[in-house]
Amino acid sequence: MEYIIEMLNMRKEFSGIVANDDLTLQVKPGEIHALLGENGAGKSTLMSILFGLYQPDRGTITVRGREVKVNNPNVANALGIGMVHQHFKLVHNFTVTENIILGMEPVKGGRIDIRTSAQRIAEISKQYHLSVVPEAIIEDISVGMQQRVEILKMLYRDAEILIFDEPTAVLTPHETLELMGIMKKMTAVGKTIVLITHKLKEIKAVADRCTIIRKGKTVATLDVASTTEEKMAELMVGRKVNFKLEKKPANPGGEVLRIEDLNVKDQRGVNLLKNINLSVRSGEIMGVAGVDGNGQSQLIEAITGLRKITSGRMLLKDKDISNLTVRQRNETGVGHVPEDRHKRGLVLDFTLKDNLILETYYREPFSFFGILQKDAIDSHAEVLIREFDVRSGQGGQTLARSMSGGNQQKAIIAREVDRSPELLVVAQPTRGLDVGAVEYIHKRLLEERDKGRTILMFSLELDEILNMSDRIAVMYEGEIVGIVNASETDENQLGLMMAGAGERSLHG
Amino acid sequence: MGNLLAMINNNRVQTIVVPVISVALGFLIGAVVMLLTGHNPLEAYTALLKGAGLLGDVKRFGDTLLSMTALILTGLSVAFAFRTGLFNIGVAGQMLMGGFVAVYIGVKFSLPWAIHFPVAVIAAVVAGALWALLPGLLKAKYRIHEVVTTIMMNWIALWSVYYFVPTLIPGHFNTESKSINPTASLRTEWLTDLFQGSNVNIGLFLALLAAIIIWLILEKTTFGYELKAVGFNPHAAEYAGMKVGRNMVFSMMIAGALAGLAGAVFYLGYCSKCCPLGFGLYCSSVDNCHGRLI
Repeated sequence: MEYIIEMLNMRKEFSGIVANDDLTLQVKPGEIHALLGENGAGKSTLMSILFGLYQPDRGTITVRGREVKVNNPNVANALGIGMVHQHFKLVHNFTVTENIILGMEPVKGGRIDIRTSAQRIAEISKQYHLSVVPEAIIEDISVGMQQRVEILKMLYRDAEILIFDEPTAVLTPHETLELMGIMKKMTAVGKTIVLITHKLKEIKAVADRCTIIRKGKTVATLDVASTTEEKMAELMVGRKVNFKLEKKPANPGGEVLRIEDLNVKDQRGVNLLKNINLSVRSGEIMGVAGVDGNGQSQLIEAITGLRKITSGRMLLKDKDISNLTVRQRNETGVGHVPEDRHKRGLVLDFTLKDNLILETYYREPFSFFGILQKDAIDSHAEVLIREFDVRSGQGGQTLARSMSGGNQQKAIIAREVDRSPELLVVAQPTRGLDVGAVEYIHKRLLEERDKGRTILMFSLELDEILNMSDRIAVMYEGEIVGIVNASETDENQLGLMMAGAGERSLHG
Repeated sequence: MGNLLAMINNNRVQTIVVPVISVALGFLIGAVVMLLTGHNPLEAYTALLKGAGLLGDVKRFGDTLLSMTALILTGLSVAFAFRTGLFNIGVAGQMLMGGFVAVYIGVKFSLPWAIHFPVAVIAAVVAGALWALLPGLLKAKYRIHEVVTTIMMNWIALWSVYYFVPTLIPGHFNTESKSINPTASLRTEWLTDLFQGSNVNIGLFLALLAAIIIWLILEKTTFGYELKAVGFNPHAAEYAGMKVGRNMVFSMMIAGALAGLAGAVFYLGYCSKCCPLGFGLYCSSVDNCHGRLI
């Protein structure tokens, strides 16, 4: 048996959209096999087929040399296939042990036999160095530990083939290293791992082989050891990728945003933001790094007016904006590229041109005594579409919903940049975008910086933070634990700070 | 074939073709059922068209327009709320309150025609809007779902009118009001004559006018732009600096105003009395509601 999983010539179509065109994936037993591709290339669809969530239109699946039909996830479980989803599927108010045994609880005398299962979990976690606290409640433990619970869930069910869907997206660099160690230990005892990712560095670090897919087709399967990151990127995108951002040294001017002792509490009085102090100058990009959920969203909302602050103040060019409404802040000069473009950034059922006036519709030239001025709106859309290279089926008339993620994001950035705000708060500017769009958006933001704009950029991608920022603030549990110069730091130092080991002395 | 597919996929064509095909299929399936049960569909459909006045009977055609009048407005009320993200299931109550206020003014006041009926209509519009205000506020302030509150308001409207009609404007029976003064009526001689005695009235024009105004508001004004943005995506509207709660209240009130207008045209144009038992829409489906328990 050369391959433990073979998916040959898979095809899957969703009402006219071909997600998988002709995909072949061959995984050898005991290897870590990376599945690399841009967003929308068909990775998730392929794995969902293997896990029994979708039925393929064509193609065969062979597991351990036998052709199988995976009609539903139970079949996949029976075949020893387990999946760690990107968004964990855990019961938040259950303990670690309860979550792991959920669905196959050992019963003794009509009661759940927690003791036996706890023992078995302890054995497994010792074997793979998966440290968890068995009696802890899920909502009290770190994201890294939650992920280990997900892994234990699969191991507890004796899964032999483990699929990891973008597992490092939610981890600190240190936790990522730990996870890689765990993966290696699993393959050492004969388990097989399929790793879905778009991070080339991780593939290089941990995978044995790599299958690259583009637009629903398998492009190549490579031995990772004998290839380079550049080569893999080129295959993934279909053209040469410029890794190095052309970035001139920053030329910062005067202070534009000043945050003083900002505190935000939720309704229960829990601190969401604690004594935030931050000063950002014109002509610089201040990156805000941190593991997801450490107060970044609350800080964005506080600055842009979407959340009430408890105490402290925020000054934009010496004007106190702490208690202004969203609209007043917009007019004072705050631009905002929101972290969730579908929730906040766009009205998906509006056309592109209507979305481009979302914050300015009530002002001239778009409104004249309350009447929308069609000509002004149309020509405004045309200008922005051309300038920012927003591609859509029917120009300004296109429904925002039908546009690709990259073009939706370009439209939002066009709208916000066009208002020429003093301060641009940019959150997750390239989340879920393909390499081409990422390149464009990065270039554009740097251009804005060079024009003297103040940019506060929140991102979960450390590479993006390191490449784009001039200075970097790191958040941990609602606090800024340190501010460092981008040129004087590296992933390791940031990683430590993101895990709470801050150096509060490096202000300004 | 390719051309045909392209045409069907065209959005503009679809907006026309889809309803037409739906109605045609409805007739077709109805015909099949009739055939299976041993009836003649041709005969039935001929009677249907004849009843609607589409085969040349002018009075019946007028009556069809009459039924249409209230339905345009109640439909507009629901549709408007939908466009702005709200499910106004309280049209019946808003309509009833509008109708009650219109009839009250029609009974209690005697004014010249040119003043009397406009005052009654406007009062009905205001009453409908106010009846929708509370659900709007509850939704905006506490996110209490409007389906629940508007249904409750329907029952409050029903029993209030049931109480106030015999107390304030009693008619011959406990369950109906006194007839309105002719100066408050929406009926006009020329329309009645034109349609050979049908009760079709200037409410029809008010309904068409309302439809045009609503379209203008939604498509051409910044106010409509805001209402739609809030309806489609309140989070994005908030992000853009719009007052989400205030727009929800406005939206409910406009929907209520349309329902109130429906009440006015129904009770001032058709019934001439207020017959509280039963909601407006049921009322309009019955040929004659003069003094009946509906």
